[in-house]
Amino acid sequence: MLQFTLNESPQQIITLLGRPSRIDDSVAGYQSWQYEFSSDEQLDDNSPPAWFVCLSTSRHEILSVTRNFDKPQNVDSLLPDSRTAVHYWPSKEAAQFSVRLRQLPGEVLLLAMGTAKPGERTTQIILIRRSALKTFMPWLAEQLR
Amino acid sequence: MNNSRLCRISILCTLFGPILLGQTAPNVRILLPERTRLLQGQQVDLVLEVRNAKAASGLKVTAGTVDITANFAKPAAADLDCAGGNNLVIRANLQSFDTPAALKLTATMTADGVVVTDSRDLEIRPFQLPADGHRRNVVLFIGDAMGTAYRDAARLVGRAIVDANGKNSLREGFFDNLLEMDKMPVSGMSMTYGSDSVVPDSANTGSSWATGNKTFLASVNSLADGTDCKWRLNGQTNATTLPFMLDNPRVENLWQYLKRRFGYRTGIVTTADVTDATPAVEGSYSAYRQSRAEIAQQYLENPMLNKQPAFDVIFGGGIDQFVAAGRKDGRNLVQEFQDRGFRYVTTASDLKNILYGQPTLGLFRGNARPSPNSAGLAATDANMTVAYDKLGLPRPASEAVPNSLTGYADQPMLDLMTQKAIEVLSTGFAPPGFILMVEGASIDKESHPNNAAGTIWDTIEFDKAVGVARVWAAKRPVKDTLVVVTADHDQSMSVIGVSNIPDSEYLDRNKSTQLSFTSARGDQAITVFGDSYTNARAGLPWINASGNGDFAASRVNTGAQYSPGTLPLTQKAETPASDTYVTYSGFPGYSLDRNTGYPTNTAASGQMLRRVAVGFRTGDHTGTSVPVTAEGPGAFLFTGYMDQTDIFFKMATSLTGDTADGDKFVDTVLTDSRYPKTPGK
Repeated sequence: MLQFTLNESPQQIITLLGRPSRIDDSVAGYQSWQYEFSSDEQLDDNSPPAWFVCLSTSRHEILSVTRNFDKPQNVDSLLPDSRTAVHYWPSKEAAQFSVRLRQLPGEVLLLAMGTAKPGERTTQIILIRRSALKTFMPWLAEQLR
Repeated sequence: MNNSRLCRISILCTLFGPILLGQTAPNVRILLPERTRLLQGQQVDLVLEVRNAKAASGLKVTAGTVDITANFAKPAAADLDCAGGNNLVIRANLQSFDTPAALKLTATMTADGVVVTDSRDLEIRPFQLPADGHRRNVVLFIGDAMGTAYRDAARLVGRAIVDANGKNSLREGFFDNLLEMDKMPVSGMSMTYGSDSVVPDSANTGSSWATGNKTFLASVNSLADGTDCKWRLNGQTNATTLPFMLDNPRVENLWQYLKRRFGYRTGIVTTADVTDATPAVEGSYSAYRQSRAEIAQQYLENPMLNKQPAFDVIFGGGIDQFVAAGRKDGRNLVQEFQDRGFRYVTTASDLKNILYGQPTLGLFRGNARPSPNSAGLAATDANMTVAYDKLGLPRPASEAVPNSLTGYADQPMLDLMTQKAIEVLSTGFAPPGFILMVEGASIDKESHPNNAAGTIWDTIEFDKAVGVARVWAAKRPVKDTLVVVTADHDQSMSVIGVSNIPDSEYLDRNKSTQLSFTSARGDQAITVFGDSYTNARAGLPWINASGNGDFAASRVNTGAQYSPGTLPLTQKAETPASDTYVTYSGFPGYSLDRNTGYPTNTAASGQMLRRVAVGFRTGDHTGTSVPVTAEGPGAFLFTGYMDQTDIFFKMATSLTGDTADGDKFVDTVLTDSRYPKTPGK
C-alpha cells in the first residue's frame, strides 16, 4: 500500500497493480478502477474488489487507494503507535465507528478502518488525499480542522 | 464490493446521463427508471434531486391529473455526485398509485429563479385477488447461477444412474427420468441485465423479480441516487456510509406487497446465510447487499410493514447476523423474533418435528465466534454446508476439503427445508395464501472457484426441492399454486464431454503438476490435478477434455495429450481401451446411494465410473440469459424470451386468478395424446 504516493499516473497504476478488472465511470468527474482478489484469497459474490483506485478525471489525480482484505489483517506495522491518531464517528462520546489515522508526506493520510487500538484487525485500509476527505469523509475532515 | 468481478467496462448509469461535465444550470431529476412499472398500490419512494440550486419553491408534482405535491417533504440540502455545490433533495416516501393506468409523473418547481421540470411515464398494472375468494400461492425457486449448462450437468449426473444390472437410465441419448424442473410443462428464457451492466449480480437480479424494476449492481430493491458515490467510488463501505446506502429510493417487493395489502404469508428458504442477496431482496431495502446487520433488522422490523416482521418463515444459514455477539448494536434478534411469536430451530431434527403453522425462524449454521466485522455492517457469512459435503462425498483432488461440521453436523437438506416451509405457510383453516422463495445458493458459490462436483450436487439438491413443491402443488384439491424455477444469472460452466478418469487419479491430492504462464496480469501459476480431465477449470488454458488431439496443427490446443507439463497416469482405463482418460463419445453413468437418494461420485466395486466432463471459462457471473420453467395456474405466461422484471408481473398475474384461458391450453396440450411427449418427462 505504501508504494503509492497518490501522484501516480494511470500508466504507473497499471505498472503497480495491472489492468483493472472493472472501471466504474458512472459518476461525472470520477473513475473508479477496481481489481479482483488474487486466486489465493477467498472470493465470492460477497467479496468486495481487492483494490479501488478512485481518480478525479477533472483534476487528473488519484484521490484514494483502498485495499480490502478477505480476512481481517493486523496492520500495526503500517500504523506505528507513535505516529497514529484515532478518530471516532460521529464523535468520541457517541462512537459508532473508529479509524486509526497516520499522516504521510504530501498531505496524504493512511486509514485503518474500523480500528481504534494496536492489535485490532481490519478488512480495509485507505490511502487518501487530505483534500478528498471533505468529499468522502466530511466528518473526519471536520475533526482534522 | 459487491460488484461482480468483471472484465468489461460498465455501462454508463442512465440515471446520471443528464449530469454532464460543465453543466451548472439548475435541473431536477425524478429518481425513477425510464421504464418504471408498478402494480396498483405498490409502494415506492418518490425522490427528486435538484442540482445547482440553493432553494426551490413552487413545487408541483402530478401523477396524471392528480396533484400529489402535498405528499412531499420540504427540500433538504444534499451533497450529490461528490461534486460539491448546492443541491437539494425532495422526498415523498412510500407513495403508491392506486389506479391502473399509463401515467405521467411530472415534477415542476422554481429552483434559484429557474423553472425546472422532469417527468416519467409510469405503467401502473392492475392487481386484484380472485373474485371467488380462493387465494393462490407462488413458490419461486432460484438456482443461483443456474444457467442452462448447470441444469444439463445436474441431469447428466443425477439422471444417468447405472443400476445393479449395469443398465444406465441414460441410453442412446434419452433419459428414463428427467429432472423435476425438466418436467414442468412451460419454459422460457429470462434476460438478466441490470440497470448499469450486462453482467449482473444476485442483488440487482433479485430486485428485478422481487420488485419488477431494475437496479444497479449490489443493490437490494433500491434505485440509484446522487449519494451513492460516497461509497461506490472508493469502496468505503462501513457504518459511516450506511446512511448513504439507506437513503436510496425503495421499491416495494411482492412479498411485502402481498403481506401488507392482503395478509399473505411469506417465506424465504436458502442454503446461504439468510441475509445474503437472494433472500434479502424478498425482505429488505438497501443499496448495498453487504449491509447484513441492517438486512437482518429489516426482516424483523420491515419498513414497508410498519416495522412488523417481513416473513413467516426464514430458513437458512447465518446465525451470526442475529445474535448479540455478531452485531455492533448488540441486539439479540433471535430473542426478538421469539418475543414476536416465532419458534426458533437450529437443526434438521428440530425442523422435522415442527408441526403447525407457527411462524418459524430456522438458522442452521453459524461461525464458532460471531463478531461484527471491522466495517460495522455485518458479521462473517455463515452459509450452510453445501450438499456434496453434507452427503459426505469425497471431494475431487482440486476441490478444497470442507471445514469440519463441528457444531453444525445436523443441517437439513433443501428438500426438507422446502417441505417444512410450505407446511408452515399453508396450514390453517382458511390459509391466506403464501409466497415463498427457495434458493439453491451454492450452485453459484461453488461455481466461482470452479468446483464442478460442488456445484453439480447442489443443483441436484435444488432439483429435489423443486420436486417437493411440485408434489405438494399437484395434490391440491384445486390447482392454486404456481411453481416457477429460474436462475438469477448465469456463470460460465459448459458441458464438454465425458471423462473416464479412474478414482485413483480423480481423488489423489498428492499427485499434481505445476504449470505457469505469463499473462497481462503477470505470471500465473496453476496446479493441475487428475480431476482436471473432468473439470477444465478457467485457469487451465490448454486442457480440453472433449478433444482427442487428432486435429490439424492449427488446433493443437485440444486433447489431454497436448496439455503442457506431465501428469503421469498410474492406471490404464479399463473401458474403453484408451489411455487418454478422455472420451467424447458414450455417456456418463453414476451409482445411486439408496440411503440418500443422491448419486455417489466414486466407482462401484469393479466398475469404472464415467463422469460428465465440464469446463469453466471464468470464475464469475456471465450475461447470458437463463431458463425459466413453470407449472400451475399462470404458468403459460412464462414462455418465450422475457425480461427478468417480467417475472414479478407474471407471478402477480397468476395470483389474480385471471388465467383460466391459458391454463386450459397448457392442460390440453399436456394431456392430449395427439401431441408429442418428451421421453422421461
